[in-house]
Amino acid sequence: MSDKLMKLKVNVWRQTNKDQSGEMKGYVVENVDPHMSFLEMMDTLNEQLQHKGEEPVAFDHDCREGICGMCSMVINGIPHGGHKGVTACQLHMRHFNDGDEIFVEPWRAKAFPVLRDLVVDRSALDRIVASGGYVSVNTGGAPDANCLPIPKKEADLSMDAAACIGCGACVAACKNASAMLFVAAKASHLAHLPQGEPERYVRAQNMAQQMDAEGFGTCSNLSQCEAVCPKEIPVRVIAEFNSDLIKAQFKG
Amino acid sequence: MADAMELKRGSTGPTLFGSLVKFMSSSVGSKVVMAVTGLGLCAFIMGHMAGNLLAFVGRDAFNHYAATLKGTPLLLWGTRLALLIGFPLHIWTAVRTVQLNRAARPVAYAVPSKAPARAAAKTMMLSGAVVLAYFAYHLAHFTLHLTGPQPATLLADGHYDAYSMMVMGFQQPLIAIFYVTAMVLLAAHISHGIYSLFQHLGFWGAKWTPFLKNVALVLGYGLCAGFASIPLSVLLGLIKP
Repeated sequence: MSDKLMKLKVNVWRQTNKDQSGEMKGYVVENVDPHMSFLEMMDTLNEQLQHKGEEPVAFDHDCREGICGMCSMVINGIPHGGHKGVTACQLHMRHFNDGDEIFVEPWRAKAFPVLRDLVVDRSALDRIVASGGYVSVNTGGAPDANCLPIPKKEADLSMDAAACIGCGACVAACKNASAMLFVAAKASHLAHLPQGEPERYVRAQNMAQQMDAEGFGTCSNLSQCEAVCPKEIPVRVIAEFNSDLIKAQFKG
Repeated sequence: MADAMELKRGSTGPTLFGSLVKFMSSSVGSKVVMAVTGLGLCAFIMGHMAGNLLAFVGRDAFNHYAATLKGTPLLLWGTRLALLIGFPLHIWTAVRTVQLNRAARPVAYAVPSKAPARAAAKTMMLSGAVVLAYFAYHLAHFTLHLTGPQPATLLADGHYDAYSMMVMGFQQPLIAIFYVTAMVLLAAHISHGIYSLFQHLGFWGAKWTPFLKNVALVLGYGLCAGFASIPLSVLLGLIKP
């Protein structure tokens, strides 16, 4: 790897608002430092566009350290660019070569309408969480820390799922635009803990119902979600969620 | 949103049957239907292959097996009834979920997805459709005797000469090729289906799931090898008329 500045051809989805159709537009981005993150490269593109008096590319971003789940770009056909366990903001330009042509698209799903350029509305995921991804806690004195014994194995399984940052890459990668990995992760991290146990089956049913109402696709077990998940959440959580839903049918 | 959910709740009653139907038409429930019917169809296919392999034992064994099947109405019609229910449910659910999935992504990506997935898993609909087309032809040929070469006379005991019908059919290279192609696609279909159905039914184990993935591959391609060995042996002259 050299520190030589790169010149790239970047094709970006441009769309003015939710109601208009968009198109892919090509830009030449110069002076790209290999140490830059992908979002810094996009910043560079935007600076160049502003110099020319053009509208900068709108894209979601916040922490830029891989934990907030805001960045949402399909880079060359793969959400977050396809490096294991990495969000787009943590993807570095050293993985690209001088002269490369790069394609940047928004998440594509009926449930994620494009608001502008690369920004999509992911509030469908929030509505799914609101439908059941919580524990009902009665008021009273806060329990002492560690007063509820939780086996290490269960705590680990819960933490695997709790790592979900809700970015929506699973939906973007899925052939069917299914949100099962997200929904199952949000159910699984509660289901493994005693606090989440009482509402386990009702939660699964309510979240699944909301997921369908939002217009996400069905799961075909292709595991594309697991492959692109920046938090490497396993498809195990989907099997657990399916199991809870089936059991819920016998508990009614 | 609330209206849509209210409507859904209102359309089915609180009865056990009603809530089951509601679950079966949800996205996860329809995959449970897919998994259960798929498991049943797979069990049928395994039994079917075991019967077919009697062709290697000889004409009498094969014809005796065919006559026994025909002569046991409970077994014959039990199996046919299961197929008559399971097959349409499997296909109908497939068509419905494919429609749902297409609707879930109205605008396609400019760059085809590079998110890794097994080709067999991505092409379930295609492999399923070819197997279905083959199944229709297969029924017309071997069950309804509408097409393909058929033996001119019945056996002495009045039964159909299933063995001769099979050999005469597979001596036609086109029929044999169609058969083998359908079996390869069936293998691909099963090699994803077996793993997938356990996932849909909520069965997961750190050791079991990788094992089941291998079982799915071995079973899928094993069934293919078993089925395909018969037309290939006929063509090579190992199974004689």
